[in-house]
Parts: sequence; C-alpha cells; structure tokens
Amino acid sequence: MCEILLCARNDQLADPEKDRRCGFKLGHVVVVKEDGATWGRLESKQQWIAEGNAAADWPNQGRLVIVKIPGPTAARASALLDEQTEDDLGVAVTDVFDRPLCFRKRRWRARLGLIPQAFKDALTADGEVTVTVAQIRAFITRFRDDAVFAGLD
Amino acid sequence: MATRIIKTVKPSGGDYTSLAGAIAGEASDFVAGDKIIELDLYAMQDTAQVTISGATTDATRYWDIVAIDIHSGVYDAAKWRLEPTDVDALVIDDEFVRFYGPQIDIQGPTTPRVELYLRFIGTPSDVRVERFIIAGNGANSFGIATESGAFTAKLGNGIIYDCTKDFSGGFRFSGSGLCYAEDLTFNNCFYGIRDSHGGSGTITVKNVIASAPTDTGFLLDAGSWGAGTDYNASSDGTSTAGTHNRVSQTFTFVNAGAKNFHLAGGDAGAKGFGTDLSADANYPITKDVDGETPVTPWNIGADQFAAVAGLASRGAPRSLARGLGR
Repeated sequence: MCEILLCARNDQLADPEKDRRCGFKLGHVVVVKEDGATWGRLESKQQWIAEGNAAADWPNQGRLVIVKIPGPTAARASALLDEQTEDDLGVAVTDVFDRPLCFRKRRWRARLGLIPQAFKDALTADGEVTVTVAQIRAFITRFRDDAVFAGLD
Repeated sequence: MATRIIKTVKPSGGDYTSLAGAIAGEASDFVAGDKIIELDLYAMQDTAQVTISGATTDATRYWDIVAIDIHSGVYDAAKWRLEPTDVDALVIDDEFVRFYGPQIDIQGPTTPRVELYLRFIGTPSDVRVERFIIAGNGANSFGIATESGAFTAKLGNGIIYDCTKDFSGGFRFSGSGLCYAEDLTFNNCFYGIRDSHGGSGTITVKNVIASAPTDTGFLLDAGSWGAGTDYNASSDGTSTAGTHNRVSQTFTFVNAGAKNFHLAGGDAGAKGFGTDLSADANYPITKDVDGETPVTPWNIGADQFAAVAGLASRGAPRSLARGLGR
C-alpha cells in the first residue's frame, strides 16, 4: 500500500505563468510514502485528533488530504510527483542546460472533484480515505489531455 | 510587523514529516496574511524533493527555513538533511526565501541532477541560502544552478564538493539574475564558479575557494564579474576579477578524505587571505559555516577561525542556531 498526501485546494498566483508552474492545485500529489507511514499533525487530520485535538480545529481542513491505496508501492506512485515538462501540445520544454524544465507544477492530478461522493465525504470528515486502484484509477489523469495514469496498475 | 508563525518538520511528533509537505501545507499569500512562515527542521533524513513555491512573499513576509539540528561544517547524517533519490533536490521558485543550514545530497543520480536550483524566482526578490553543505555524487551532480530570470540571490558560507557534471558541476551561474556568492568552498567540482550570465546577469564573488576543480576553478564566459569581485583562491591557475586573488594554491583541509573542509591551522593557501565581509554593502556576513564569528584577517572560503575558541563552537546548540549569520 502507498499513502499519498494530496493538495485539496486551488491556489491562485497573480502571474498566470507563475501560477501554472508554481501554484498548488487541487489534486496535486505532494508526498508519497509507504503503507503505515508516520504523518505530522498538520498533514494528517487523524494524527491531529490522536494527539487530543478537536477535529473541527484542524488547521489544514480543505488544504491537504491523504489517500491510501492498497497494493502499489510508493515507488510506483512516485511518478505522480513529476512536473509536466512538456507543453500542452506535448512538446518538450528544456532549461538553459537542455534538461527538462517545468511547464506545469504537476503532470498528473487526482480529480478529487469527480470521485464518488462517499470518498469526498470521507476526505472531508476524516482527512483521509482508503481506496483500491480500481476505484481511483479513472480519477488520476494527465493535466494536458486527461489521459488516465496507469502506473498504479 | 508581520507575525512569525513557526511550524516544525520532524520524523514524528511534529507538524510535518517532510519539508515538501510543510511547503504544501503552508504556502499561501504571506503578504495578505502579513506573516513570516518559519519552518524548523529537526534531525532526520528528508527524502522528498523540495520545491519552495506557491507562496506570495515580499521583503518582510517570507519563508524562513531553519535547520534547528544543524551540521557543524561537515556533512552530518545525524542532522537534518535532504536526500531525495535521482531528482533535483532543492528547487527555489518563490521570491523571498531564507534557508539556513541545509545539507543536500541527491542519492543515486542516473542523469544530471541539480542539488540547489534557483529557478523561477522573479523580481523583486531576495533569496538567501546560508551555512549549507552540498555533497555531490560525481558526474551527474550539478551543484548549484540558476535558470533565466531577474532574481536576486545571496549564497553564503557553503561547502560544495564532488559535483563533477561536465560544463556545469560546482556553481554555474546563468540568466539575468543578481547573485552574491561569498565565503564558499568548492572541492573536486568540474568548476568552482562559472559565470555564464546572459542579459543583465551579474554575479559578485568574494572569499571563494575553488580547490581541485576537475576542469576550471573560475571561468567567465563573457562580459565581466560583478563589481567588487575579489579575494578568491584556486588550486589551478584561474581567478576572477580583482587584485587580491590567489592562484595555483595548495589548500590544507582538516581531513579532505573525510569531507572535512575546515581549513587546517597550517594552511597557507587561504588562511588569512580573505576580506572582512561583516560590513559588506550588499551582503554582510558575520558568521562562518560553523556559526563562528570570524576574526581579522578573514580566511578565504566557508571556514573562519573564531574570536574565542569554543565561544560559538562547531555544533552550536539549538538555541544559537536560529538567527546566526542573518
């Protein structure tokens, strides 16, 4: 199983190009860990609660969530951290050293707005949800063309 | 005055378990919120690539990232360290960032990777990375790189070694930014510093050692080094602008084989040949890579000798770590 820390909000930076390259967006993968990972109290609402705090007071409500997926290793999910280094037509973007350069902060996103309502409710209430690859597969897609991510299969 | 908000990064029992998580959790409009976000880093191996981005910052409301458990001038696996696998390690995109005390070591790079990458920083900006150690891994390690953009950055009290990526390893300064590089020690890198700026880019280099470069200690592609560049030393025959540089020097470190690049007491290449930067007009420095207060005459490089032995000893306690040199 892997555990994925996800951005649950859409930030908006003033400059559109900077916003695309640097702004945190709904469904961006932030950190990937193996099953049973330790999280901090501001990453995990459950950790916050376990330390005796009120669920309603969790500071990162609506900002971060955790999705737990039995089966794939963290290594397999790590591609979800990749920046998009091609433009939206698929043409490679490179830096001054001729290395791949970020065009968009992430190549992939979890379509948290489209997942089944029960999962949304769990994320809202608990700050995390456990899903199977089959349940989440169709909702992890590439930004530029909505191709489905097959790396967890 | 902006409110300083402190969050912790610890392997357990803290607010976050990785710096990457903390950046994502805390990024917001600091200006509108009138706040400084201080992230305190405790002893751990942090394996998640870090991109400092997504916040709106200004000169008084910024990221202030501090290694509370800080090294003592030698890479220390018992302190906070950034060690992601085969990715660029620390990328800075936001405009106003202070990062004090990072240790960076990309694990197993299979393709050219940058340990410290100043990337989409715009203007105005003031990015400071201080008291840092970059431990390269050979032919796929860049060390420090800059992307095009009109950023302002200040790099001080850093040790960079074993970054031998050809035509880039060490510090390759590109783009149109303004950079001050002071009190740095490079060892066994392709370059010490290569200035290949474009447009209006300028790098001012002071008190920098380029020891045992695999290619060139100091290289200027075109144009000129920044005003005031001087007091640099190399083990080959290259130098920067200035009249106080030292070339073809032999540097004596405490234990280069063990990656301890403190100057030995008997060093004759850099000891006492630096310039006092404590009142530098653009980038004053008051502590060295160990957190020690230099005495006159200053050394070239990241390591100075303290005014009173042990006063601010190598491995300064946590209570002293925050704020030193800033």
